[in-house]
Amino acid sequence: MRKATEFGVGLTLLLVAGGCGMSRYEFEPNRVYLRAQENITRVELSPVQRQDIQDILAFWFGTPDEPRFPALADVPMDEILDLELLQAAAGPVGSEEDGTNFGVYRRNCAVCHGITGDGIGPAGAFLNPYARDFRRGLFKYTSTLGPMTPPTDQDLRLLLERGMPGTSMPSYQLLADRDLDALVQYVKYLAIRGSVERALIVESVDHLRDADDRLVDVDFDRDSPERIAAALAELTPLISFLARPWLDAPSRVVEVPPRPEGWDSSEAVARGRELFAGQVANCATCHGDDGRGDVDTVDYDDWTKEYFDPQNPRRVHEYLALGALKPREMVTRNLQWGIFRGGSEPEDVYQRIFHGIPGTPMPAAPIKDADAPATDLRLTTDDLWDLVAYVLFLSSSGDLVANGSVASSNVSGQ
Amino acid sequence: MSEKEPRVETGEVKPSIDGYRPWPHRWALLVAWTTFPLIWVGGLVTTYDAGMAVPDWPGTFGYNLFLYPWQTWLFGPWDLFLEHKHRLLASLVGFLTIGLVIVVYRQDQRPWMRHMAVVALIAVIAQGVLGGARVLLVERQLAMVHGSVGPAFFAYCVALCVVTSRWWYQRKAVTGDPNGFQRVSVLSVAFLAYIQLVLGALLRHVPEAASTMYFEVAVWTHLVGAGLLLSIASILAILMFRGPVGDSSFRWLSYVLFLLVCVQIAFGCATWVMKYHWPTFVVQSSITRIYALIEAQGMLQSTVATAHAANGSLLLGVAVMLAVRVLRVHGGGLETKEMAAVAASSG
Repeated sequence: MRKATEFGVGLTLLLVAGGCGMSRYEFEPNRVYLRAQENITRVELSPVQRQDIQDILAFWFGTPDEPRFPALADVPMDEILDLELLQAAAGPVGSEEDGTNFGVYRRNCAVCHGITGDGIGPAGAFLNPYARDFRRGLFKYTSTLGPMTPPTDQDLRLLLERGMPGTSMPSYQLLADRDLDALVQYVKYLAIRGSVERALIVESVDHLRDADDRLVDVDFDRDSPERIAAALAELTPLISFLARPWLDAPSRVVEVPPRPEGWDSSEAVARGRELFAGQVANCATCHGDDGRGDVDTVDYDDWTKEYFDPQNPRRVHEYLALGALKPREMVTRNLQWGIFRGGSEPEDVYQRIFHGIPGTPMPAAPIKDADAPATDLRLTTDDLWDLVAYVLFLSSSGDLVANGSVASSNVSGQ
Repeated sequence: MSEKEPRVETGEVKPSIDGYRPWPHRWALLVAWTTFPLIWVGGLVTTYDAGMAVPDWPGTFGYNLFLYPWQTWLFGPWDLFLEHKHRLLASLVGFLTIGLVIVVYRQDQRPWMRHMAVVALIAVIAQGVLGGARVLLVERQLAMVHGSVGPAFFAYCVALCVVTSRWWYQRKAVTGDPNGFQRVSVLSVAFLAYIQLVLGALLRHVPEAASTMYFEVAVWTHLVGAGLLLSIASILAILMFRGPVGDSSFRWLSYVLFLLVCVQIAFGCATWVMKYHWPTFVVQSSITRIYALIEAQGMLQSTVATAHAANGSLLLGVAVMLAVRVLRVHGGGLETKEMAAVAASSG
């Protein structure tokens, strides 16, 4: 009965809302993260303090129709973000007579990722996995070292071009070069803006003790832009801190070593199988010996863990009321299916093993230094190639491996 | 719509009417046949989000619509090609509708028929203005309304085809539907088919700033509507299969309707998978290997999504054709006045 009532109310809302309110394009505040921080610190920000965060963001980063970014003394923001491409990606959908497109983000991304890049677009709740929330600045498939290092432009561009098999993220290879570049810029913009918002939230709950305290003492409606900029100067190191890694990302790229001779030989596959099941690589713990991923594990990605505590699941309702999506358990990939979200070329699989998948339980492989002693049990790059060989063997011969006998004769016996 | 004398299972066939003039029917057919491709092209405009490819209206980049250099739109960007073609085709439908009004006024003496022709003209103008307003106001929700009115106009054209046909004149009311079940079910199918089209338009034109609730309610209502439509279309087809129906065309039209509903559901499922990937309840199944990677705006994705929208209009058109015919046979009413009007025109 309750469901029916909810449905009826929803339908009515749909019809009413159909005519109004949804053409206003504004960045949504990160209410979920704010509530999480408030719950941690037991400080509740006043409406004025919350509005200050949004006003500061609007002053620095503009609106979905007119994006911009602040000029910083210590970080050349225009080397990170290209304003012209940003503006091509932003705003309403349209095009010029020569085919130059505008509103590329809204045309291609917003229905899933949302105007704010929060992964809560209109269709967001239906997707599995959910669309990425860019605001953490955390990306799963990168070529850069360290889970907190942002991807390079090339990483993002590659992902757009080839999509993510097995998910709702399509391949945009049919888009024009300029449109793809514009999307890369806009995703970076949303990530930086979202990270700055999170930092301002933390700054607020950490330092504002009274309801009258404010991050900056300015009137955003009346004061001149110069006065506001001067007042915000003390906060700009936050942006520098969060934007600099994007500037440094290309220097953090880890090149994939060339495939060794016989990297996909049956011997390599057999070695890979041993490593896969072994204690160091420890792949089988989650993926199972045969890579089917049917091992019982309960875990969540980092985006979900931010508002969902499996020990206290009822608490999630207050976050759902703020727009968070229902938590979904992580599902270990069935490697036999041969669907690799980050790419199925051997180099792609190598990178997934080397870097892990940031934001998920999939860790980076423990890699041995070149001068490490023989007693060091960590993996070498050759070991990683053996693992790649085994993983790709699983995906190409999954049915045979599932059969058991083939696995023992072809793979381990030779 | 058939020009041949209908075979009758119950009821009577009226003797042929010498005063019947076929041109209104032929012209109505022409308008309907031109409107259907227009719906396809309109669907493609939505699929490719090309509605704003030409930022002005009623002109095209400052040119008169009909004087816009053909090389530019024929060999220009795909979005421009679609949008300008949509406008040209819409203009053609507009001119044909003006022609329909003239033909009906010259050849059809039924006052209500003349009113219907004028209403068609008003509707096609309103639809054009809606399309223009969507462009000038950059308002996505007007595109949704525009996308909902288009199929309604098409269905209206189909109704015009039926009421101008020789069949309409020759059929006599019979009492084969004492409980009104046929009337209720065909009207329900036509109504549901249209509601489904509106919901489909809501989903296809979903504002990017809409809430997940908006989208969820639209999706679930669309699914429930599809289930209802399938149920009623099935019952109708079974009913027509089992008993005397009043006119032989009811039977095959109900079969075609049922088939179109099945095809529409298949297109709907495919549209979802090609746009949003497999639904959650099968996402962990190996079936997802079949279509693992979506290609945005690829040929398959675009064709299936547009076919889903166009087939919805076709389904509505067939439902309306059946409904109007059933109402003619089982509804009674207009016959005496009509015959008098026809007799007057022929005399």
